[in-house]
Amino acid sequence: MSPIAFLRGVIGVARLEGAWIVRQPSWMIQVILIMTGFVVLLWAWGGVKGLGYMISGWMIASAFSTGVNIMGQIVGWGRVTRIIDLFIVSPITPIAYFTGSLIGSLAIFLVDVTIFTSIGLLTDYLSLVIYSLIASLLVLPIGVLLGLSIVFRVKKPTNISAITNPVASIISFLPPVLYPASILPEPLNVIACLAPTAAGAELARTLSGLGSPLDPLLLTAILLAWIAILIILSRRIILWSLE
Amino acid sequence: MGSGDAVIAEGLAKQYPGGVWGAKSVSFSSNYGELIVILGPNGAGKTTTINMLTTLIKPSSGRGLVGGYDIVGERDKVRRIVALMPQDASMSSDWTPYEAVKWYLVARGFSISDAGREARIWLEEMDLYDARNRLGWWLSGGQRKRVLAAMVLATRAPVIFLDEPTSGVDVEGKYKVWSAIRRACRDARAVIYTTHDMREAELVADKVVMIGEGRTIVIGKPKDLVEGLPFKYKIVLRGKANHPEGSVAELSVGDIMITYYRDRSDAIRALDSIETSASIEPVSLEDAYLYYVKMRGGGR
Repeated sequence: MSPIAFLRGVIGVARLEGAWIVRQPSWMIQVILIMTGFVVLLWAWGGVKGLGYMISGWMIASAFSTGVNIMGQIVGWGRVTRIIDLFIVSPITPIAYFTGSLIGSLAIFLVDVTIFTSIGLLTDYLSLVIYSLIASLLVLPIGVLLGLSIVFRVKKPTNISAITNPVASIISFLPPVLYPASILPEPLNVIACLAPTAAGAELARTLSGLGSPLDPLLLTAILLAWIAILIILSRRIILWSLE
Repeated sequence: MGSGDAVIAEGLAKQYPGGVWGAKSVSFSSNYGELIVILGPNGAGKTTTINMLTTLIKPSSGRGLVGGYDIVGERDKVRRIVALMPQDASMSSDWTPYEAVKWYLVARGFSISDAGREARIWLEEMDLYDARNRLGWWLSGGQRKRVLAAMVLATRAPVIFLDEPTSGVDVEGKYKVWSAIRRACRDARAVIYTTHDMREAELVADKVVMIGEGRTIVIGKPKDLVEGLPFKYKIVLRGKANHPEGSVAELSVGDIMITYYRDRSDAIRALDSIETSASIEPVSLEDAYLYYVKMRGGGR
């Protein structure tokens, strides 16, 4: 496939699969309300430092769950409506399709980035926002590939979200993502950071000076290892047919 | 494109996990510029055959070539030259018809300007141009189906597969879809179309492939299949009626009995012997189907 054909594939899919972002804008109210609630909660309990942990943790969790849930929703709904078959039976490659689906729905994550950048400008956490964004870019593809590994293997497509939602929640909230790894005893803090979300959040914190018990190189290595393994497995993960 | 067979299916069979057979032996071929209708009752194997030929599922046995490419070994090449309208597919309520066709074409590699132009042409063909900017929420089920047909026909793919494209579409809408499909055939494209509606098949098909219980039963032009029957007229009797005389074949379907006659004079004599009111009708593709599937036990 030529680069132009690939690009057209991505643009076309992004416009179609991301149409709901524009047509159903009420999702934005939900995102803003939940975020505002968490910002107030963490600030009230942990002061400005608590807010810092929240910024890094939320951005990472948001990137990861966007990856998992968007794939779950788009592929799941595509299988229910059988619209995905129109894309499978076509010159569109799976990489172009999933990249387009992700780009089309990335506005969800961009709302988080915009709000946290505003908070970062009002506080001293702008560098934390930037490092969190960089770490998010490593966590996002992990979420996408993990999402894809689930969505094609659930027989009943209407059950997909019932599986991807809890997976995204467990991996986003259980390990040290919204709280620091330093409060966990050794070696549990190291083990917990094997979760990509925890590694991403700790990486952003340590690079911005908020501190982490783990070396940033080790945290980067964990994220890169996740990406490498999932890319190697992607041929088996992505099922670009009905079986 | 343009020479040789567009589609060749040779003994295509599919056994799903659990041992259920979706198709047992489906064979037919199709040329470019030809509209083939795969005809059969629900569960006959029409969709399974389409899914195998469009590479969505792998056949358990048999061979399939689309545009000269093997459906198993050259899957990506097949996908480049085909387009599929899946059975029961539903366009997103968040799309307008114009967006759906235009951006689907862009996704398949069209430039944005070409895609916009083709979208307008095919939406006009489907009589949807006035509704082109209406969201899916506000379209009827039949209109949504026609949008999907427009998306697929606008692709310029040399081989088009349409799995029951007119189910749920009103009579006027059906004629629009058929007209658009004929236009695709005039552009030397091959169209493979499934339906269980005999009247539809008789009206649109260049060639009919009748399948039953997963097997090809008979292939031919609708006219040839009807003319090849050993009878020309029928009398349909509903409810309790005495048995008419002189039939060469008969069939009971529920409380309906159909009796068949070699010629009109035999049928008129039979009609005189019936006490209830009935009428004589010439046989159609539906009778050809009943003859090959029910009377001759095709597919078993």
